Amino acid sequence: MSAETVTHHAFVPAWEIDANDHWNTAFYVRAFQQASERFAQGVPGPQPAAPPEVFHVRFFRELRLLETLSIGSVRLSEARAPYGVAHIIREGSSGRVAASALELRGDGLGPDPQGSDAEAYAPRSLPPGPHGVSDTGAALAEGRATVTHAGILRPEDFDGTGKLLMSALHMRVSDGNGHLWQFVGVSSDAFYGRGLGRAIVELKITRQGNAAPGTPVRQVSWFREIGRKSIEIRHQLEDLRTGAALSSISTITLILDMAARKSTELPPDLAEALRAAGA
Amino acid sequence: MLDRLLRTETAVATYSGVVKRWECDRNNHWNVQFYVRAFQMASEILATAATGENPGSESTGFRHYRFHGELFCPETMRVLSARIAEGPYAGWVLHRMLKGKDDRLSATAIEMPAYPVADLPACTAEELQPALPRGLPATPHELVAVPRDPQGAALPTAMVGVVRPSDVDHRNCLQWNALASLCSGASHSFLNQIGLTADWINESNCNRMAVEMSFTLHGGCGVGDSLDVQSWVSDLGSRHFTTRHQIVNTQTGAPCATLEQLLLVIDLEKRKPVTVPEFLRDAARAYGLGEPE
Repeated sequence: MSAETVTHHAFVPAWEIDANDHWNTAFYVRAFQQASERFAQGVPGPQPAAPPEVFHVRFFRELRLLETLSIGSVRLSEARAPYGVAHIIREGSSGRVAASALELRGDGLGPDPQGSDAEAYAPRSLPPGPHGVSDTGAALAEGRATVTHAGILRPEDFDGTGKLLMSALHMRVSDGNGHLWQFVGVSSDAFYGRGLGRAIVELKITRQGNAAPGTPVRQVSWFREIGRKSIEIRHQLEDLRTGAALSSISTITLILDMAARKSTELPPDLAEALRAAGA
Repeated sequence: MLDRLLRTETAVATYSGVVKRWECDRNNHWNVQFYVRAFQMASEILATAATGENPGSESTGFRHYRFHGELFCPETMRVLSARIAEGPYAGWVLHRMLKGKDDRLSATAIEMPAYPVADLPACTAEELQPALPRGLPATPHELVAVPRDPQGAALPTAMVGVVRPSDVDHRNCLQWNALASLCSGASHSFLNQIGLTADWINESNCNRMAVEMSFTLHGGCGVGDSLDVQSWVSDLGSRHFTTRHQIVNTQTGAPCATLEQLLLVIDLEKRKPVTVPEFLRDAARAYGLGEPE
């Protein structure tokens, strides 16, 4: 059985905290990419700084200001195919698992017969493996989706080999989420004002293509599945000039009762608003 | 390309995002450099659509901003862009930053584009009106001789640092938001020198607020270059004063950019402008507006 290798250390600084005092999810993704690249250095054979092709992330515990963290990485068995490696973030103070990422690697490092089953970190609500590319043009034309971000890719969005960073891809989710909720008529006040909260519990990022610094981009977003207590949101980042997809991101968002700090059912009127938008 | 973006009858939505906590000032307002970044990204999208290539920071050489309503974390915002069809700014581009679900006006910018604009929708006079210059002219800055103090000595220069790879765009040109950030350091330093200190702010419960700003990009620097900022008071009214900042390349002396900002002194409790205090008037005379009376 493969053993975990420590691949990253970090802490949660004040300037990476969200409005809700938690480490923003884009920084978890950044940490996973650091771990991925470090892990590649310990693998026999060619050692490309291979960016991940897919990260399948689950969140278990929020990391708060000044918390330290480490990442342990381990080869996976066929049970987690097609993913080849797991990266597990643990709180420095308690050792408890805060998040995990199963990775489909860019260097082709697949499952290992001696690898871990990593049962605790298995996909739950999102299927394993890469996303396909969605026809966002049709979804926009039918009013089921909206453009939630437009902007420019900057040099700092890329790694040293010219590949887009997974964290840069995911940062656009932060930019777009609020716009998607507004698109279906659910404002922040209408949601948070009634004591509800939202927390991402599962996330999958698929790299679909690359681009160069200076590329104009748009992100198209839509609600995909409306569950009793959770919803699936999809985001597709595209090259604005060609329409080519650069990444696909799915998030499973849990609806929270903020007073009880527990999951709760999505109120019927909000569920109806989301379904009316084509979810 | 613009067909892939949301549109209204009179504009294209060229930027959208959210106010992130790590982009906020200590007062939870979105720092000014991020307004500048949003308008610049909007500009580069228009330039790319018109020319097929992204000219980066050089999509415009001059932009004039007005600030109407602060953005707080975690508000959403978007930029609607259009061609100005009539009046003294015909052929320029109007950007309007709107916030939240009600599209309330947060900031505006008009820019002299370095790209064709004929294919853009034209804005209405009502949309343009809040963006029109009020106390700062919308005219590209010429380099001017830096004033001297009443004794004839040079005014202090702020050494704001070295241009980093993260400060430049894909063409090694300083990004507008990096420029704004560098100027912010120089501006704080200068305002402190003329008496707008943290202690005064705490004691008076007043602070300055930029309501209008203009930037001219001259070029003149790239990664690794060191920058200096020369600052002075360039105008003074009963309820406002204007500071001017000339950014130069330390090694070559080449001009890089000029910033002017029109500031009000605000009573933080009443959220209203007050008369510019006497000590600031004296300082203005010593720092750029000629001999003290």
